Amino acid sequence: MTRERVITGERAVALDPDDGLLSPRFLARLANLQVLSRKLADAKRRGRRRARRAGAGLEAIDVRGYVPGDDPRRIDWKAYARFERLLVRVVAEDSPLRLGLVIDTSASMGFGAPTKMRQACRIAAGLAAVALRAEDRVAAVATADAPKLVTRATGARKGLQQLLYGIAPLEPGHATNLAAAAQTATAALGGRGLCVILSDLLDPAGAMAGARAARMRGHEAAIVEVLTPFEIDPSLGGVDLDGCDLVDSETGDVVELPPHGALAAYRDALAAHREALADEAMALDVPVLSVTTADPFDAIVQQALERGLLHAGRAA
Amino acid sequence: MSFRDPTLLAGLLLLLPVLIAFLVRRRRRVVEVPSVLRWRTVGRARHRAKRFRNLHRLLALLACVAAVWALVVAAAGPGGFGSAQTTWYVVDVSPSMGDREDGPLADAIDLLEQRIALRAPNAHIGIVTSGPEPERLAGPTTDGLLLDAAVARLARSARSDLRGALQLADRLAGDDATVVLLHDGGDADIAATAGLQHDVRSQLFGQGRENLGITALAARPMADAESDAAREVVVAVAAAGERARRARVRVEADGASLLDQPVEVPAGDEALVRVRLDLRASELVATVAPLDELGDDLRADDRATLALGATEPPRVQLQGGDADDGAHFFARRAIEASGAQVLDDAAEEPDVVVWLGAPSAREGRPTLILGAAPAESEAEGTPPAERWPRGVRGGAPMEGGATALRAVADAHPITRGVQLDGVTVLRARALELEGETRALVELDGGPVVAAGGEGHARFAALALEPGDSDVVLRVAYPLLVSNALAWLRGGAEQQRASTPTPAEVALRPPTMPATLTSAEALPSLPVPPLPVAFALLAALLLALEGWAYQRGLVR
Repeated sequence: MTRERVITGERAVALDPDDGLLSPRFLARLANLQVLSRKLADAKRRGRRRARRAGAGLEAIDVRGYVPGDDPRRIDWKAYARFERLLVRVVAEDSPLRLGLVIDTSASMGFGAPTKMRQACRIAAGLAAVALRAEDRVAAVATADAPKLVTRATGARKGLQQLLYGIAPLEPGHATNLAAAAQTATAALGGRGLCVILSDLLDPAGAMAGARAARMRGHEAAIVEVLTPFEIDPSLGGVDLDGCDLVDSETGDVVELPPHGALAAYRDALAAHREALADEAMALDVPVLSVTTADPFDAIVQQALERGLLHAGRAA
Repeated sequence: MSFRDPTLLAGLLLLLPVLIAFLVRRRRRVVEVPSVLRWRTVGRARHRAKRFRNLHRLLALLACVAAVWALVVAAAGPGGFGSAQTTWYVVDVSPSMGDREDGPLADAIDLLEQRIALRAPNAHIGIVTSGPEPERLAGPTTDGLLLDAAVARLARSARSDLRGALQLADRLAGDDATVVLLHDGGDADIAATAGLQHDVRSQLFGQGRENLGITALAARPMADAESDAAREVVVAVAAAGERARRARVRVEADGASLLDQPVEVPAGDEALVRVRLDLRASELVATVAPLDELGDDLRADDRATLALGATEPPRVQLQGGDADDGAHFFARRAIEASGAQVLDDAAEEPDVVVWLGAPSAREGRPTLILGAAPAESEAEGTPPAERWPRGVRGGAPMEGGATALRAVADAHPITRGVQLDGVTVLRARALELEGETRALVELDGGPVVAAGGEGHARFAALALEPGDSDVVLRVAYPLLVSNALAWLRGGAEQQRASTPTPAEVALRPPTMPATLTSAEALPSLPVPPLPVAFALLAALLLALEGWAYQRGLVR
């Protein structure tokens, strides 16, 4: 396989032309997108994003009655003339979004062509590019045996380079512990933000363990479930699984499949899993994107737009 | 280890296909997947570690190999690890052992056949049986056919010399041989009292069996008998076991029924049945049969016979005295009144010799002495101790107050029913008694009627002088003479009762004598026997392997 060196800033990251984490062509297509947070962000540094709290921005988002101590400059005099009441304009403060990216680097992510790991890194890079372009703050965490902060990036250009440099060398081969990784990511953000978990959700602690940990700390959470086509439909692999022994790539556990009907039973089990996942995600108010390693980037973006993870248009 | 049929060990070649099948077994396809979390509900999880799976497979192979090995060894008939050993079995075949088909003898034969079948190939066995004459039936040999033939010859015998059989086995057994006694404990001390050089190991059979039988059958003259034929017949019935028994006792005299009545027999005890016999008979037959449901394991003691002694009147020879004397007259009248025949010919052999007065010589037959006054002409030369029967001789004369009646032994056959109250005795001569001689009538001055001796040395002495007492005028005198003659005659003609000997009747559960080693000391056999043990081991291993496959521990 021929490789080319993609120069990203001062450092070069080895990327192949087809499977590169971010090619200039994709970057161009992400130009008009922004990561959508359902709640207003909270950050000490100013950004382009509206905050829920009243601040020094320009856009009024609400009015309320005056209470002693309010800045008199915020009194809406026109409203006073009309309603003869003192009302104070509540102006959204522009602040950056804190985006935490949790990338599953467990052994199970090493499957697929490209691997689920590679696909997760691509999506993470795209989300980071969108966020950094909007002057949001991004922190990436890899779920190793001990979760590791890969990078904490700010700035549209330099930050993206740092992030690509950090996630490009990640290799699968660890155990899955999404909850610990989510805790590390939320701690690295420095405040409440959005935690996006990119994983195949094959966590012994439960598929929603990471999202639940983020929500417990007051963060928003989103899940990008990355699977291989084989995991969606094992018959696509061309292997007759009836009577086979399945070996877990992470734990080495062995499951003996029955001589007949294993495929149908798996489909039922997968459907039940997804149904349970959807129910729990709804309960936690967590959007879930289900992608495969074979999905093109446009389809993933489209799904992100549909699920409200991305928003078309620049932030005000 | 030795084997009965070592050629069957060739079956160990079966291990080759087992090993080949293990090595070339069809292996399951293994597919590595990212995770088996979602597959757990589809299939069956098993151990994660491959080394454990391999260990399970290896253990399963070892179990299979061991099972095949155990099966082959069991088929080859292992005989144990012991060295050559010689065992002599002494089998009691007395009637109490029962038949070959049922009873202690059947159990003993079963044990013997088992011991022969499971013997080590180099073990020697000898068999000695008790019978009228102890006999070596086989051995010592390792030949199973000879031993089986010897066992087939075992059968109950009416007579059994178990002591002789033990002594025969003791002489035949070598220094390192073992003697085992198979019996029912009828004579528990026999091994201890037989003077054996070997320790005898005892195996009891038939313990706890129910038995009902006759232990004694006797007939004796009655005190108030109206005739010589009148006898009192006594039947003793005993029961073994822990429960009281109900039985029916029948007594027949020369075919005529004398008695047929039920009787209650206490547990482990005897019950006596008495019946009066008023007719002359030569044989009594007593039988007993159970009336309850407990059964009777020993039939040999259910019937007893008694050959009665002759009831012909005794023949009497008078010695001493004067034929014209009054004492002679009363004595002869009394003798004839008893039915006895007085012999006039001195050449004839009398049954009883009657001395009128002190005897002049000791006779070798039962003797009745009427009067103790010595004859003056014959008393010189021979000391009284050599003229009187052993145990009695004439003493000092007494008269006056010394002749008052003091005591009469009412229970003795001679004085039973004899009334001596009011008898006047002017003078008498006391008897000097020795040894077992018993005084039957005593005056204040000493005994005047006595009896003693055994067999032909029996004697009875009536020291009352006919001329100095009115006893001869009373009924008591001929009665005393008659009783004395009957008693003396009975001593010469012993009644013979045919009842089982105690050695053949185990009426109570036999007890193990302390001098015998108990059943635990029987020659060791593999317990359970080695072939069975190997077969059980094989079954256990195969079951274990099947369980492991069923549980999915091994694939």
